[in-house]
Amino acid sequence: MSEGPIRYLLAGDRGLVVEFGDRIDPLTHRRVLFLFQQITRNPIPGLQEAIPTYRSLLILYDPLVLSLNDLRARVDRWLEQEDQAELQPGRRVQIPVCYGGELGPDLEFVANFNGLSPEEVIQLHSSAEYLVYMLGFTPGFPMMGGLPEKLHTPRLPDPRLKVPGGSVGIGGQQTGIYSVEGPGGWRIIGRTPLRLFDPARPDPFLLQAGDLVQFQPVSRQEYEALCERVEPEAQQAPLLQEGALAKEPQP
Amino acid sequence: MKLAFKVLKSSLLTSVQDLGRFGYQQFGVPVSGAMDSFALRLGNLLVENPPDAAGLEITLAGPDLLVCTDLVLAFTGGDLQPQIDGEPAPLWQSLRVSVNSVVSFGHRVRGARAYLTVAGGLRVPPVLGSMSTDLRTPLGGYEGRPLRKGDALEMGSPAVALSELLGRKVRVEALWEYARPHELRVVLGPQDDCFPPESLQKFLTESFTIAPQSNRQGYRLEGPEILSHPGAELISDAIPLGAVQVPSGGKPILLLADRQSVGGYPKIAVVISSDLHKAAQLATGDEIRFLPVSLEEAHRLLRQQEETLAHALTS
Repeated sequence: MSEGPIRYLLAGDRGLVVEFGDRIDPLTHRRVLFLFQQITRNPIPGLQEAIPTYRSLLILYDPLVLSLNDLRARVDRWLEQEDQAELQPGRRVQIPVCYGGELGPDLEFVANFNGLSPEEVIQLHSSAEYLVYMLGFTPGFPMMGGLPEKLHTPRLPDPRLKVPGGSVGIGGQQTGIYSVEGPGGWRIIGRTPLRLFDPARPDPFLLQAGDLVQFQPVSRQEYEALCERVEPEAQQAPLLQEGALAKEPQP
Repeated sequence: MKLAFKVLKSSLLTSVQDLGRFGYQQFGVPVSGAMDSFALRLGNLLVENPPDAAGLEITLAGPDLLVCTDLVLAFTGGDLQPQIDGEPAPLWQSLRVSVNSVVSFGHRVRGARAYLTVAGGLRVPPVLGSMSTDLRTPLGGYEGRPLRKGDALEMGSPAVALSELLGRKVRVEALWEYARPHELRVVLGPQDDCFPPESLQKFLTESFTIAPQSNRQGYRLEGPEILSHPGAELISDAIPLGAVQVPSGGKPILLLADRQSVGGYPKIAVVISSDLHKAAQLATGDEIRFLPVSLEEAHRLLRQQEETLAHALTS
């Protein structure tokens, strides 16, 4: 795996950030995932939770049980084995998407903005493979890399107040899927019938960091059939509403 | 399970909270939980519940609750003038309350968030291992929302006979943990290097006021502009509880229980664990200051607070 300067940063009195460089790229992310997987596989008392992000891992610990020095020593040892160890490969996940129409109201805009036809947008978007760098913003929302440059499109000037769960969007250089209904400023090009987050399922999250995602275009009819078969509730999603809200940059 | 309370009159914001929803931040799930976990733990101690039993977090003004069975409860945290059948009820002690009594609240006297715990603990269906309400997603608690008129709250079985719980009080020394309410101690980082020395100095010496757009997710702070280095763009990373993030406009935001799990603004400092309960008791308009401490000092203060909790009750 790649070598690079590793920084340890204090995140309060219960957190340690291990930072692997300052780039968003699959190689840096593999280093984050390597350490994350070591922590998950080798639980030690006082190490409570770890949160992988693009180029860093936040490790949360209980200082009453585990000292920062002991935690750092453990992390150092894990990182020494970095070259020899096998990183568990990411799962490949196919996500059906019905593009355009009322489920993807911004497809035309994305096409026009990039000088493409809507069919070309669909073709490009569904032929790429995307790496899930991390989940965040809302439960199960994947932050993904790998969007073809021809599809880069600025966010909405005024975010919508309500974007239905399952909406597939483009925000700048990123693409993502809204996991629950909520405000959002990304351009919505389609919707998946799959639920990215369902706390009632044995496995509540469809995706995890490190997964490789591919979108599979489906017709409206197939979309409706999938909604009925897999998740009856999903088809009740309300239509998009326009409005301004978020002051912070968010999907 | 038994019915504990029925909500007769709703309030500004009352929600079911335990100590939080841990283990799911990697999937983007907020931790939530009691803003003042120190007060919730003391409340649970008073009624012999496990520390992570669920109680009510009552913000600024309280609801009217009909008591549905004979029970023992406790009020802790902020003083919102709790009353039982119109008579003032003391904070920080176990109270026997009979069926058909009415719990109500008066004006806000001190703090911002009161906690009501009941022997046996409140019961809502756990979601991802916690009964806490995540108001933003929404998730957990009582249908993922604040309580309103007509809601009925269930409770579990008390750990011991109610008669054994009478006369329990929190020692006054334990409440010294709330001294100096407007001083929040911080450990600098993780991105203090995104700020020039003038900004760090301003952050650590001047006061800030809690702005109106503040909630369980975070407090917006008015005060001197804390500017980061130009172009100090940050790649989104994880946000610990108590982090002070500073958007490029220079207005800091203190991130609390319902914070998002990741974000892209540089975090200048993080409030120490043993001062978060003080942050929870602040309201709009309150003035605060941030004081730097070393990590060793933060850990010492945390051990001291745990020691206080271990000996918090009289006799």
